[in-house]
Amino acid sequence: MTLRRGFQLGFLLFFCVLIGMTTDRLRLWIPVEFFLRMDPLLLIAASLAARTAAAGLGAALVVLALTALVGRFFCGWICPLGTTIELADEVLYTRRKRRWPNHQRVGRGLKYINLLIILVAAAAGYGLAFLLDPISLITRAATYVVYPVTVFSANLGLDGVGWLAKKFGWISLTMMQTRQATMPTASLAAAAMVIAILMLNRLQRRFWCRSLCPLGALLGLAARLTPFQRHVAAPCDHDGKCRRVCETGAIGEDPHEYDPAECINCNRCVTDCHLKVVSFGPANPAPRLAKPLDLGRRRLLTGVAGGAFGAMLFHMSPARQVSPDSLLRPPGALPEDIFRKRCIRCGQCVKACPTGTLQPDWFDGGLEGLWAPAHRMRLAYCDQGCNACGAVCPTGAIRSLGLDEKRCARIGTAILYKDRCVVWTGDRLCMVCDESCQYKAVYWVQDPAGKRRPWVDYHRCNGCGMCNSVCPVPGEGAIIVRPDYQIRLARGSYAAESGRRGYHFDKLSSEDEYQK
Amino acid sequence: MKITRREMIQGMAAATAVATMMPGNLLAANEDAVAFQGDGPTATKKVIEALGGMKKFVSKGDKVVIKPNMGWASAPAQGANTDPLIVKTLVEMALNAGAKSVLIVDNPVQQLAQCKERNGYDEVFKKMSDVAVRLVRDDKFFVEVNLPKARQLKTAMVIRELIECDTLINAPIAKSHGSALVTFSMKNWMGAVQNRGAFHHDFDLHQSIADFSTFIKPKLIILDATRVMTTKGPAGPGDVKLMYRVYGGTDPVAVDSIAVTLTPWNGKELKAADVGYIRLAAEMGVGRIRTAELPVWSAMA
Repeated sequence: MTLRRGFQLGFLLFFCVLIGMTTDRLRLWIPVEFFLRMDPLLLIAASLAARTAAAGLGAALVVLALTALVGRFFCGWICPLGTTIELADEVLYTRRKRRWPNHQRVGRGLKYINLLIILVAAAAGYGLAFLLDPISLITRAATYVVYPVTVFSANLGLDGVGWLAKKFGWISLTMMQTRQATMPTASLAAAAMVIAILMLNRLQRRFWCRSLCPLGALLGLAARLTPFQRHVAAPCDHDGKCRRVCETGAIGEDPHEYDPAECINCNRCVTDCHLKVVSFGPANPAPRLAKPLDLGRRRLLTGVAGGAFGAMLFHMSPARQVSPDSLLRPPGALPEDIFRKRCIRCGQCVKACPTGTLQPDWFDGGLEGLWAPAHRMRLAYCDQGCNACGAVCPTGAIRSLGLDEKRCARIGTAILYKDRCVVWTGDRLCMVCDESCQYKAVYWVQDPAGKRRPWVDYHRCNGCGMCNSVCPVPGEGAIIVRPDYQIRLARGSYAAESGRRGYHFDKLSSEDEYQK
Repeated sequence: MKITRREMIQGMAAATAVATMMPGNLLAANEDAVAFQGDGPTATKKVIEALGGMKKFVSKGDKVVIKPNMGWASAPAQGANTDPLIVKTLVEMALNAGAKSVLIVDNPVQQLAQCKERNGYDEVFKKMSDVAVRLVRDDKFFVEVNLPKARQLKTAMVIRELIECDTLINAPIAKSHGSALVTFSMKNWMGAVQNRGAFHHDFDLHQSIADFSTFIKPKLIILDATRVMTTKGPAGPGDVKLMYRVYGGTDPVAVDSIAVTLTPWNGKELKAADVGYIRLAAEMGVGRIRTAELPVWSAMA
């Protein structure tokens, strides 16, 4: 195993560990958004689209600066998607004949088109980076698909252990299970993208990285500046080995020529050369740039037009003007317009949510809202002792709030539908919504016949959804949280705002303050 | 889990206020319900002694299942869940009586992980062996049962282990209740049922609770009335009165009918017959309503 592979596996493992640790028991010292924070494309696009510097922009620019110094090391040594692509390639595609030989340059300009589309849309004020950014892609697949599948397998294992435990009377091992995270259709679409990217290996090794990855394009532009260049010493016998082994086909027909915008510092041309004549070092003599930038007039125009079209599509979508009732954003989510621009659809909030109420949206928020987090209160409520979604959000699309503030970041209001409620319609003895409400927002009223019926005090409901999650009425239930009276603030205190609006979300009794 | 000074003083005051300060061993061992005043664990021990000792309920090698109320993600002080220290006492006594293992199980209202994290059970039972605390919701842990004597609720999905164990102990907590007025032992079984929405949605709540009680037969009932949520139950936060009392017995109707008179619930004095499910359960022969006043013994003597 080479040093590079060691680093790659190490970072991939670290990535998985961080995904696993993205929970409501988050400790501040765990940088769960480590990889997302290293991604200059995500942060530049998010900052540009929202017209404010996103937190962490500085760190990402350092990565960009380092790339200008030594080349695309991020792609070859760190990127978890890149490593996954390489591993998949080695398992599935090494023995297969590729569509194109390794050195052939196929569609290298496409990645610049992708980059342009993202940047132009961001300049126009719309966030598109989430769609193709590699870190966003792989994080989303991990949180939306790999994690639920892992839990499912673990529970299968625990079922087996439980069966044995029952047989042999090991009480401490019986009936164990982990909460199964759900996997809606939107999650499958996220996984399908990663699978498609892995299948592109059939065309050429790391085809995605060579020709499609917009982050690769951005880093490639920086890498053109690197003074750290490849040299081939005199006794080269032109056997073409370096061209065949190069991970990204960056070496020209003349082995002295290579393209620093494509080179991902895999070092295979150095290690695999039987004469050991290849080396990397500061540029002296002057570097031999093999290729001009793969960006002609046509591609430039395609990128700009594509970005403009994407921005226009979002701008004109009716979903920008009408938000469906079912769309409830997590507490602390920025006002919807900025929220959509800032959210990079990494799914970390969904992963961290301890109850499973947060789910990736499909098209409730239009195309622009794809994969963004939304509450499904019928599945579970928003836990009032948890503020994980904001704490793990890498771009601040969901604000990180203390529990006192979070309680006042009103999600919406529980609306009681009289014509569905079993007490109003069937005269049943049910008060489950009242029983479970922590804010005592449900109270009794008298119906015209003088019978007592449940009703909601909108001053006291912060939309946590507890009532909806336990309502015994089938389907969506009879008490449903809607976005009415929601509080979405870009800055400032939610507690102060809810006070100004006359809402009361009483703190739980002091003796009940569970330790977080 | 610490008892605060305020709690301690109130508890002492309550205990000394008990008129009948007789030592418990003078009790007849064939009572169907007894009550002791004192801190949870001590009173629990006394109650079980008064009922004839744990050996009467647990035989050597038994698989014991305890069903406390742990349906809520709140700390013991809120009075929504059975005090884990009372359950711990039960577990220790059961193991001393020769039980092979003890399973503490519930199907909570709130999310499993949050309940487990905040209700204090994990902390109390973490280091004990032969005990497991499990909160369950998945289909695989439930089994469908027929309730032949029921009037409305003819079938129910029940936690499998409750049916398959050797000794079943019901360990509820006394609380006010939004729908059912009060909750003691019989209402606690709703926590063992997966499709409990049917109690509210398809049938009459009181009838369903009584129906289920015709089916489930715990060998022992220990009712926690140490911290009593007298208003805004079953979740709270409500007005928690520190009453430091533990009821025990074998007849669920008797235990519940006595507990009704403990305190006003949501500001109302109730009698056993005011509570639908107690009346119906008595009518259906689950047990007998006890109207005679029950002496309350002190666990401090």
